[in-house]
Amino acid sequence: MIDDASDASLLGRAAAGDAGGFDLLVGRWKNRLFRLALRFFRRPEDAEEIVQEVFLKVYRMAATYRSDAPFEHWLLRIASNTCVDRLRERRRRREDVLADITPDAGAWLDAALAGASQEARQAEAARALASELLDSLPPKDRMVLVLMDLEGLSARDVAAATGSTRAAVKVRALRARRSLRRLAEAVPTAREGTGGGRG
Amino acid sequence: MRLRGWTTGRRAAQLLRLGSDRDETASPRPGFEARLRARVESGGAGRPVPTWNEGFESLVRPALALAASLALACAGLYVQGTTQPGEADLASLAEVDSVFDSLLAADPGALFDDPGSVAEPPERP
Repeated sequence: MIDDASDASLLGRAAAGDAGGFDLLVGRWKNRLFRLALRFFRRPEDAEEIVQEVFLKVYRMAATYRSDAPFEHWLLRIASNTCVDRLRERRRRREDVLADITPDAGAWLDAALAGASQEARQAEAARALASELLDSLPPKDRMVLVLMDLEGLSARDVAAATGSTRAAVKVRALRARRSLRRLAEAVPTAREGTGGGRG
Repeated sequence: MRLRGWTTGRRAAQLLRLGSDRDETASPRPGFEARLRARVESGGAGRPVPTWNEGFESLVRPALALAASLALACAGLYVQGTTQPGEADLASLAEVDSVFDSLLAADPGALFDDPGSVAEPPERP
């Protein structure tokens, strides 16, 4: 059965110009990559654009893959680099994001952070605002946080996926969590109102 | 104090979760593969790195380096073999030098003469 072929062998076929091998690889990994991209890019069109870019790179670099490393790590490294590059392009200063928070959105976000139930529209606005706030984090920090805390990857896996060392990943995760706490502290609470720019 | 830190940590974790929220069953729109294939075929992926490139790296490149070394060595041998002792080499310059001549003639006093008053050496045949 051709679909049982390993990722590495499919990639080898793709490198040799076999479009079928590449299609199988795309079918196998597109959802996983799409859901990862959605962590950073809320609009499905943006996430899909990222995934397409990742697969274009995979196609172009297929012959450079060395089978001594797991294919998943290789693919994840391409995906994380692509996401980080795109996040860098759209990164905003934290002060600017905070200054743009409207009183309503601030209150909804505060309620969401406190775990209160909300209407769908308010919950969506809170999610959008939270995503904008996360955009102000250094992209690599955000990547490490998402991979470790949300995707459940170990420091070793994150190191392999980001081309770093395990120690460096742990240090970055520590620093990123500190930045995230500062960001959470800067979000105005309902008691304070939404003056923005605090912290 | 500890409670405040715990609250902040919980808010931070919630902020990360909220801002990174996604549908666990999400997938690209239908036709994703076709759109991707169109981009690949239109050259959007650039040219794939061909596998023969590895052969080039391991075989052709050393062969070219060896050929270049041989060419240089041959050129050096050719130049050495065709060089004739002529008037332009250092030996012939020394032979018409007045100081050198005085030393050959065992007349070191000429070394201390005024250079302007030193007689021109006789023309060699």
